[in-house]
Amino acid sequence: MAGNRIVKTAAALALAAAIFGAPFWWSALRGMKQKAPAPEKPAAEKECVLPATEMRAGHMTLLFQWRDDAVRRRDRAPVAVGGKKYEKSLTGSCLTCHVKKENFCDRCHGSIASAPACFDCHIDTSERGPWK
Amino acid sequence: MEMTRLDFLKKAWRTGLVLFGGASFEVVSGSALLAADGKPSGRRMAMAIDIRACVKDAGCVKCISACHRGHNVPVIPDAKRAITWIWKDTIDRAMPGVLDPYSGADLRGANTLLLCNQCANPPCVRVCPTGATWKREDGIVMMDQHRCIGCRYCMAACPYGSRSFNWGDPRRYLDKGSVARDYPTRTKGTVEKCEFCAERVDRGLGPLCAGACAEKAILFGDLNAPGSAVRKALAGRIALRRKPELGTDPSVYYLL
Repeated sequence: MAGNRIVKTAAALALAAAIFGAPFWWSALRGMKQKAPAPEKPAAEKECVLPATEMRAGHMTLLFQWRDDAVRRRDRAPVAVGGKKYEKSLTGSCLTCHVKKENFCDRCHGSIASAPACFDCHIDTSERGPWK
Repeated sequence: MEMTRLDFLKKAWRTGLVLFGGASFEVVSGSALLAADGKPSGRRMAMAIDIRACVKDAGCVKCISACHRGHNVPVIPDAKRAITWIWKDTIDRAMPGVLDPYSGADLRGANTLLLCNQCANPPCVRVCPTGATWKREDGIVMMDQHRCIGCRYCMAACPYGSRSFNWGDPRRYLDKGSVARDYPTRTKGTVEKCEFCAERVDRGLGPLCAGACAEKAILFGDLNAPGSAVRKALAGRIALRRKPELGTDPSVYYLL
């Protein structure tokens, strides 16, 4: 009964692929339903400190650099971009345009389950009431 | 000749001494603040607290509340978990043995202000394993909350008890509506202390406590500048520092 054995093996392999491949096909199926995150853009401002593509890819590097400049290197000199001056500050600069962290930072970070600790200490200036 | 285990260890030790010995001596001597001629190369921020002006109003906590409000220091009822940047205690406890039973009757039992001494030779900096606390070139002993891992070595090293640990989330004791929004809070598992208002010093301003004092009992300035308010006050009066015998070289003076 060679034919029966081949069918059984194929079925077993298919079942194994379905079970062990679950993380891949499950997220692929879910991904088809999911929309790309849409962080809220500031209404008035069109320009950021860097072009949007660079900010998308490297905002964390810029923030780390500003952090080290302000805290460790005592270099709090504002950054001038296109005639506008930006203080090296998360709450003092970034959040003045991107007013709600919830509608900007959290949109992308939430969708990829990335949870940076910035706002464990820094204050989301749009929030009111007691902390959770 | 074949190398024995002992020979190998000896050679490794000598090589290590040559490679790293020089560097470690430099760290221990801590002479970064001195220029080649041995003179101070930069500023050294210091504070002089006029004890007699401060004791005039025993119940006054203006400096403490200005500091704690401006830096989002929570009020935690449990004394063991309390966070303090600047606080009051008796002169006798702050500087044991300074007061005797017969002189300075007005100061006996009176409180004075205590805060981080911003030591020129800070023991907390020596022991910090991550570089989260360090001495800036203007002498301020700074905290970088981003790097603090909460090991509390600095708290064990500080002989003045100037550091506090966040046993829980300090935000449970703060309100979003009333916090200073331009200054961060801290988070669970980090150490904090007075930083001489470093963020204000960088903008050319003085500390919040000094500005809040109606008696002008808190003087602030550059210890290396002969014309500064601190130097002028020190020149004219007797001043004490806390535990000077330890060699920490504090930058907070108490004017008698």
